[in-house]
Amino acid sequence: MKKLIWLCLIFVMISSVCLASPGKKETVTFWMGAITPERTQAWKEIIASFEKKNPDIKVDFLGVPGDYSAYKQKLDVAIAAGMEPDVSAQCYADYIARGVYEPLDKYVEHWKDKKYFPETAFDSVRAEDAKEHKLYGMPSSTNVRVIWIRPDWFKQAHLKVFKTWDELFEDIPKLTDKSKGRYGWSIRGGAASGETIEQLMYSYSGITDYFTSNGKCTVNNPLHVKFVEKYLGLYKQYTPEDDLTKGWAQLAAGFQSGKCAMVYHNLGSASSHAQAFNNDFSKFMAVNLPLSVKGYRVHNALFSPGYSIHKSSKHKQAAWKFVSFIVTKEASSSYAKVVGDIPLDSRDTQAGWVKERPWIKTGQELLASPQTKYYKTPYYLPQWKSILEKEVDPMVQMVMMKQMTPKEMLDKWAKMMEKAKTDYDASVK
Amino acid sequence: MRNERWFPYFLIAPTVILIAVLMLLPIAQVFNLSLRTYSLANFSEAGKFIGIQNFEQMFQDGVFFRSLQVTFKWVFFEIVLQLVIGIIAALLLNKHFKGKGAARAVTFVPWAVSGVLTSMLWLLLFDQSIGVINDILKRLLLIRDNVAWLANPKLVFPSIIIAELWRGIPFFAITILAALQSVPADLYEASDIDGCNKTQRFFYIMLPLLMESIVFSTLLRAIWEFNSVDMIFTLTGGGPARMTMTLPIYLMQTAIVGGNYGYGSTLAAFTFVFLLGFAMIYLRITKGGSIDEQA
Amino acid sequence: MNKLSRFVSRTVFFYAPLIILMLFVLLPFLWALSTSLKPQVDIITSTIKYIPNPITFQNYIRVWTRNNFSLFFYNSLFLSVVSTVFILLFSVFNGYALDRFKFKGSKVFTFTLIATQLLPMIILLVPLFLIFKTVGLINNRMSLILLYSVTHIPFNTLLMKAFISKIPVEMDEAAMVDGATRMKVIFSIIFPVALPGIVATAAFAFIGCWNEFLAAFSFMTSMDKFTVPVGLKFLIGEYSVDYGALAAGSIIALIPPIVLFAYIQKYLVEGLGGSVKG
Repeated sequence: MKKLIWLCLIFVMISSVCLASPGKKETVTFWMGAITPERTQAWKEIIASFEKKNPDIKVDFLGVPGDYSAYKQKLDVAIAAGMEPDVSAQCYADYIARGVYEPLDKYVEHWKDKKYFPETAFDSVRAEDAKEHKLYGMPSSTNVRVIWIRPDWFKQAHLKVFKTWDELFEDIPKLTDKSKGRYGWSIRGGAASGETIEQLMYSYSGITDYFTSNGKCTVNNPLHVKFVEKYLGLYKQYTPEDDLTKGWAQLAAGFQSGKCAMVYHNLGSASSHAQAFNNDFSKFMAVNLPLSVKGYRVHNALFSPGYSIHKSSKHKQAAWKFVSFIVTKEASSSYAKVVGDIPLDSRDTQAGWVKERPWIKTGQELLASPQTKYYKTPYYLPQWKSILEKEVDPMVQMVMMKQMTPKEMLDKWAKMMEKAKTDYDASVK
Repeated sequence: MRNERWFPYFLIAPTVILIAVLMLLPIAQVFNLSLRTYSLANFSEAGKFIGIQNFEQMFQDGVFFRSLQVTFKWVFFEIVLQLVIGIIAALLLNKHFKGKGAARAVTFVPWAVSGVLTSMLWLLLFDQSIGVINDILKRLLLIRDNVAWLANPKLVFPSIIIAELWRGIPFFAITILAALQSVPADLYEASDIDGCNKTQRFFYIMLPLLMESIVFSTLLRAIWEFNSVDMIFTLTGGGPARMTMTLPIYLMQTAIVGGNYGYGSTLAAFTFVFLLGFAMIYLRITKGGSIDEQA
Repeated sequence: MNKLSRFVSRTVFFYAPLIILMLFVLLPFLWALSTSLKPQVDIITSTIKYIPNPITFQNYIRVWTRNNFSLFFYNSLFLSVVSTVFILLFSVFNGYALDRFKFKGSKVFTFTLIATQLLPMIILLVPLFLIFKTVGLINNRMSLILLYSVTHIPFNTLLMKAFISKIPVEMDEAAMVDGATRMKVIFSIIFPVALPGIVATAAFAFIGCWNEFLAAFSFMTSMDKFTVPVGLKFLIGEYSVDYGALAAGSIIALIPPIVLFAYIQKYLVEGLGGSVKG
């Protein structure tokens, strides 16, 4: 009997190997990262409506679970083996530099829907190709960095919502009540702490160049030193001790469980706050970054990475049909809704769900405001992100633990970025 | 009888083929890459042969030496604690008592729980503000203020050790429990008649019989713990300030996050050679745990 | 007096450590169980709720239906069972060869087994992917079955060797005098007599395969081939973690190993000691 079961198993196994479905339709494979059950559902619907309109094309969707670094790792392996998808999301700078993607300029030129997209959206993707400014990804939606606050706590403390960084720094102690285990702010000290601090310090200083014309990095500008001293000086005074190793999941838990008055993140976390606070808008609210010392607001360069077609694809026309479908109208709107992004297609920005969500309005205000400037975040540098994650993150923790001064950290950081830029300039020549 | 001579080779042939294709080949490729440049900093020259430059860099790399130190500490504490507690657990569970079956099943649970949950679970348990550990300790009046388990430089290492220990105990407990079943009952009875006390009985009768299982499971466990990343990575990401960064986490950061597969492969090649040497010395000292040879 | 001191020593040396062990092992698990039964708004709260109130099975329903979990569950079961069969078969073969024969290369073989365990899987992914591509096994379950076999055979071989060495050689010889071939000896003597060991091995192998994440994540390129651990990762989103569903999914995933263990229990209780004597 047992032997029989084994034989059956082996038979099933072999037959599963041999089964291959022959298809006549053109198949476009599409990979997307950071997928959850809700996002899978949204994509299934989008793809179904695409396939209905294009009966000769079948879309093979692979939703990769986990964070974007897991997604990138999966792409890395697939690219190394030459088994890439036709279309993938995120448009990574190092893939551009390695020539993985197909330039999309020619496709967009003859595209009838181009007029509905703000030119700045394309510019942000073009900026990833520092050398030739070609377009390697189709932007679909964008996200804005905000400070999530507890309006009810502000009310209790008779505080108005801050406008400048100085006001914000004054509010934090007033919202801290250690006896109740309440803190005015929570610092991201774990994964992505470097990137967070970078965005905050440029927002404070009002500097918009990352590198000066002679190649010097502005990271260690005295204003940034001053900011980091002040900001990381909050640690343990007005923020929880375990901020030192917190990533977003723990920051969110602290905010949602009523331990912290404010956290810095983006609009994408709205749905999770809404769920935790049971849609009670008096308990959470998005506020735009305060004005810099120079009087205007500085946000990191908008990143709307969008979707890219791989050079190795054998179905580029079909892939383009699919990409141009998902970035427009209902498709982009319905996915932006799930992710918490602001759609870029101007026909979408007034969609019903956009109006129901006050935080989207906050984001749109930032985008529309003439007071908003963007610092030139060097997304094009393939090493930018890896330096932040691998080198700067641990240094932020050392500063928090007082094993290093903010100036030492920023000097080292600037030096590494300068070297990365030199390397990059040399290798794209 | 000629058949007899070839029979062992026939038995191991499938394994040998599998290992050659799926393990030795990739390992050779890692060694090959360790002599090449393969990084985001220099993608135009990707794959260029650079000799032992990566190894030279490694021996001047302070982070590498520190991570190696952390790894030793990590493996040492994990193995000693897991082994000792595992043996105690196995001996306890080998006794006759009511609810033995349930107790055995419970001991087994942490190991069967998916690692995806385990690491997230401990992250929640350790949380300073909303973690259960602080809440329970406070209710028991053992602490007054909430403790930052994963952020306090003195506590972070013991904390990750305990989390990993939780899922490590069952491995030894079950291995040794299974091995205990093979201790012949008559031997046990004989020792009772000879008037050995319990401690003597354990050290002179049980332990030698369990030796082979213990020797091999300890060796492999040490190797696995050396390379284990998911718990540390989720709980601390190697921080704060690289205090919990083990060599494989550094390797992962270098190769995967940093995109430097060349240098990452060098770190892997070192790991391989180092652990191979460790295994050789270990097996020589323990003589493979084989009682036949000692007898 | 004697009775009292026996009670005290039994408490100190047996019950106390047992209870401490059980508490340490159980508490985190009970917390996961409690989380899985809570409504979503009660999971992250400022005052901890130990007992879910109200109790809800929403998380279980959500994870099973919306996350495609039934499919992942089937995939994992299939992969783990087939791999375990391979692992058992070859581990017994190897263990038997290593214990019963003195052959040239046996030391090298043992060492090669250990050598396969020395590197973290993550660095082997790219070369493995290329090999599977060459033989056309990307996105094919066979790739995982082979890989799981190769990663688990070494430990289980050494475990089996230890178990087989406890079986008296005379039993083999007696059977062979009666005209049995070596293969017959393995299947009709070694397998039944070494059953407790084999069952323990099966548990190790099954759980190892059942919970494997990295390879299943990397070598499968269509969502309908994902396994339970990969499926659980879907619940850890970019901006939020669905702790309720994650706990519920993990508890569902515990069922096969626990059922297996309940079955194994019997063999661990009976023990080998008796059967060899008889």
